[in-house]
Amino acid sequence: MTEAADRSALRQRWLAEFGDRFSAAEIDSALDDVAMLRRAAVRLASFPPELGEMPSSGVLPNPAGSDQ
Amino acid sequence: MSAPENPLFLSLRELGQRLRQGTLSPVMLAELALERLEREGPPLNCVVTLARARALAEARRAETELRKGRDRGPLHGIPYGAKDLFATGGGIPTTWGLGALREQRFDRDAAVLERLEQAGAVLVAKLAMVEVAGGMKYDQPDASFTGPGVNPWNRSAWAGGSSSGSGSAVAAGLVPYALGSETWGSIMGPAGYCGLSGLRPSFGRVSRRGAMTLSWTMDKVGPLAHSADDCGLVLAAIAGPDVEDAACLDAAYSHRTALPARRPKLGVLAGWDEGPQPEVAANFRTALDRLREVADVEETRLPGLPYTDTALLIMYSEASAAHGEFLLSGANRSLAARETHAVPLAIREIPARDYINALRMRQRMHREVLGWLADYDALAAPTSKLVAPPLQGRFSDYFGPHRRSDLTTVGNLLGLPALCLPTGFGERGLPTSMQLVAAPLREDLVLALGHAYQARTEWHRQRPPAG
Repeated sequence: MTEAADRSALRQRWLAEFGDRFSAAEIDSALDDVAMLRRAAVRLASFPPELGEMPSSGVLPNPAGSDQ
Repeated sequence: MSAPENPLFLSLRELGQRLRQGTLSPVMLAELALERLEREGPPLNCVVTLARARALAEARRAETELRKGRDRGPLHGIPYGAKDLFATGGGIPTTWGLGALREQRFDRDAAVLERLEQAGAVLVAKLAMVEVAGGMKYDQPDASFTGPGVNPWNRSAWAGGSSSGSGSAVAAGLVPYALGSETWGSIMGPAGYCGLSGLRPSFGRVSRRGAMTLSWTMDKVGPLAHSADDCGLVLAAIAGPDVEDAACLDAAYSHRTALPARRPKLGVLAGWDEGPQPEVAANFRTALDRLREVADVEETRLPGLPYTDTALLIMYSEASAAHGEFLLSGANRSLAARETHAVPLAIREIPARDYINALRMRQRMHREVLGWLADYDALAAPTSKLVAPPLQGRFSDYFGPHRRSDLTTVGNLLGLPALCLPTGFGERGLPTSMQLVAAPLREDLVLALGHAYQARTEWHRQRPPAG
């Protein structure tokens, strides 16, 4: 699907599921945020990870390296 | 005749000395803090809940202990405030900045508050914060049920966020120090905008048990105070292992202010001079001159990796898991920042593969950035290229592309310790600042450099005009 078709499908799904809680303008604003996050993922994908690169849990890789 | 000195502006070491000499008492200090928080707090929108009964009980206990010679260390008998994201037992509410949670109560203190209680510190107030620690993409200062955080240096400017109340309460001399938290700038921002020293400890140095989660892999807890030395004293009290926070390391901190025996090497991030306000740039150059008295300074360049994109995907994925369903159940209507009401919808759409790939990218960043950082004892850059924004208006209009520096982003993604230090004043009489960042668990380096800088400057001793 194209980006526009994706957006339209998501809009329809949200209106059906959350239309009682969000205005159409709010849903459009959230769709803009989805597009922003997708662009971030695409940019990130332009730095392909090495085969076998593991996810980082955030925990420091080498705490023993400190003198503290 | 000069105005009488406000003891809540004294350094923690000076306060400790006076408490032990008997020229000040814990009860006197607690009462003064409560009185000032009650009177000066509302115009700054910095107080959520005064902990009067608890504060006076803790102060009386400290007074008795000190009189009997039972000394719990440098924070004993000294009042402090805590961002309202830290759970408090004893019936004191914990709101996370959300009107929908005005009555939220926990049966136990957060780990950091327990640590401070063991150190004899006196909790006087829960302080205001941006709702959900700013995790819902707010774009203007009015983003808390307590109203926008007001900057004591210029009351038409923002105090910063999300630890807004911690910044303004310390800067206005309502408490000598306060606890804040940072996922992506929430200590550095208010500390810098309010002319304070603020310490973001390494990821895992301080337990988050009982602190609201925004991002399990990026949240950190640290102090905002008047000096690097004060920050170090607080860190020594709150750092250390905790089996109830799986990310917490077995890494206590012993505070010292001495620089390493060899001359430290400081890297200044290339590009820092692209876009700062003139006073921010001039004050940073002067600050570097002071640092050159104790360190070698050279320009350097961050490895070119997608820091902001990675941080966005990780933080929002985890924020969605932590808060998305609660906010979508209707609590989003209590968000003060209207522009954030539908953000919970958007962030639940991040695919798992994007989140996992962001975590893989962070692993690569750990390898490449920490390898590069090994050549330096610390990095330096302005904390923000602009002074605090006005209370009115959108951040996106005010900051353009400069809301967060690369150093703030990479430091938060990789859990690097950072120290914010005031460097002078800029537009509208507002403080300017710099941040020093070091390798994981090297708070000692940024604190020693910060202490050496503050021994050569007076910016941390400046006080805002009385309200």
